[in-house]
Amino acid sequence: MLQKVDNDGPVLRDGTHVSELIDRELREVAQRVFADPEIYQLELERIWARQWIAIGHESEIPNAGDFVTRRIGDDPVIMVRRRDGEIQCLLNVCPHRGTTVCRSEAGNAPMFRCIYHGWMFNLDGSFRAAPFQEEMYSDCLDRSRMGLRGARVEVFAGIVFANWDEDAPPLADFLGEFQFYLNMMFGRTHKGYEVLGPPQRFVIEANWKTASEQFASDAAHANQLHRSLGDLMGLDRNDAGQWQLYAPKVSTPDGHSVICFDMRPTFAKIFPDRELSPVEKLMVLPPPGMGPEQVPELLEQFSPEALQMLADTPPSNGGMFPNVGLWNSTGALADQTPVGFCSLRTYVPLGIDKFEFTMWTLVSRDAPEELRERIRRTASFMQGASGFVEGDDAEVWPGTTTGGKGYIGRQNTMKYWPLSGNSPPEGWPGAGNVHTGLAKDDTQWAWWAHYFDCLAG
Amino acid sequence: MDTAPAQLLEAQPRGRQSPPEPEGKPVPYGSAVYNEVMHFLIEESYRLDDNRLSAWQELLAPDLLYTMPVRQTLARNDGSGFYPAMNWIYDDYGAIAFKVHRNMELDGAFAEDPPSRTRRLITNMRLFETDSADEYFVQSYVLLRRSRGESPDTQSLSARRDDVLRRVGEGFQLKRRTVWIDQAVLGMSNLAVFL
Repeated sequence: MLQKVDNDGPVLRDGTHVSELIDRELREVAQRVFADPEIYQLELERIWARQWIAIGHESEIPNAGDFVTRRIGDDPVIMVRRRDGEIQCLLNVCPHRGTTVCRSEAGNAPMFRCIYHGWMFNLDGSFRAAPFQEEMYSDCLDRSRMGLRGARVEVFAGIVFANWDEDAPPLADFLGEFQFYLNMMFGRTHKGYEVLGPPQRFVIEANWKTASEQFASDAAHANQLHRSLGDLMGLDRNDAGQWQLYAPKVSTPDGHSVICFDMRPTFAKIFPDRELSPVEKLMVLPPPGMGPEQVPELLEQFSPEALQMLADTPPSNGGMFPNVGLWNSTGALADQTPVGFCSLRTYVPLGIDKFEFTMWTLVSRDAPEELRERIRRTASFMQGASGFVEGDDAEVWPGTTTGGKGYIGRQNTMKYWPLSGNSPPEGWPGAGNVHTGLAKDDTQWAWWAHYFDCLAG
Repeated sequence: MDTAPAQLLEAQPRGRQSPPEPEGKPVPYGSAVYNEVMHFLIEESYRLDDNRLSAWQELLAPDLLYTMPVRQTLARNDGSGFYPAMNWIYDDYGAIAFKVHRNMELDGAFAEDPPSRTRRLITNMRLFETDSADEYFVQSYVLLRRSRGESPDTQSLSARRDDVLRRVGEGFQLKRRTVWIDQAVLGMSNLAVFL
């Protein structure tokens, strides 16, 4: 650890307490957090090595021996399906002399063998054998120290999370009240959701938090930064409702959040003469990634109140602390055909001023081929590197990062002044803090408050 | 705005796939047709590099399919790592027409406003006949050099392009383009330019 720690928490080399970088009274955050290498080191220790980090989706590795390589903070890991069917997360660093063990991004392997001196490892990471083992290690074999280091793994709604910290609370505690919403987004069908294929991976020259805090349900930027979406989807720039600025937003104290898009005006427009039942609505506009034929599955899992929410104000776009973006809403093709699609994104740091944007597109496992095809097209048309949503975002995130580098600029603070407070609508079936009225900064502020709690603790 | 209705295009194969080897008869290097096609590709890259996107759009067939599959780093025995069902770009004519319209006419295409300065170097062209007398299969290499903002570092993207060109009148139209890129992790923050 580079930093000194005193009773008020970690101290940076210039004497600033990390706790001073957030002003909890004024609700401001020092822009320095996007550009300070000392902060990055603190994050490696207190976020990436202690929190539950999403590393992929279970459908990426369906069979024993299937693996993909990922990163948790700066650490390379292997996500692999063991012979017993469980998912393992292994540090992709040889315990012998430290080089990368698995050098492919994906594949199927009966075991892992380091190319350097040939140590071999089972799929669960345990040491298997080394060349000339009997002679070489006759008097010094210690299998307990010869395996690949493993992280804890838990899966929720198909998303694979890993955690290095043996003392961390279980994933259910980490997700907390957000489990209800996450399940509604990615766990709603019998067989769950699956990835359509490997993720898009691209590098943005910005600090990872610029994307993460925006995906902590910043509804207000869409109408400005993504204004050309309005031309695609036929939205009036001056009508806040059409831009989902009056959609309820949920935040939890753990920094997770989601915007629950208000679909009621859409239904009122299509069916001006009568109010449809939740099931009728879901049949007309099935949740993204599934067809109307799967709607009966929803009835088995969800209460009437939850179905009403899924039809009227479904959890749509949001994020999970620390670095996950969730997309579960309707987009459109160029002819304005609406197509709902789901994606999962992670913002993986590559140092203080770069991150890898990783984006998977998901569908229900029973989704018909025609729906998959529409989703493939809509997802790449709208998002990711060639999509215009991230195309716009990738212009502001680097600016926010660069702005925090200058001696004067890093004294700037980012303002999260307006708050809506907690006012759940009558009969709201989910937990967490529910923010209604014009979208304000509650969810992003919750993200930052939790971020600084993590750095302090 | 000029958009074709979004029809369902040919389904892309699921799973991993290597770029296909051309099956048609090769058209000799330096022949009249070869020169015509090379001229088309050079003209096309000029229009793109000059940011004359509407003029570029005139070179596209209304039934165009434009794809750019994602790629993974795999062991040699597992193949080239392309996964054609997942794409960086998967557009029909209407989608590209919208992007052109957005870049050129709408307020808020920030990824290309200010526009980047680009050079598309087109080389290594191989030309093949197809089953259709008025269509040719064209392979070429493209090296995109892209300068953005105040950065003195020029971004690069290299790829093999597999095109199908259709003869229309005195010229050609682009009917099919598959861009097989070399990077598994893209080194650009966006792909708001065409290849």
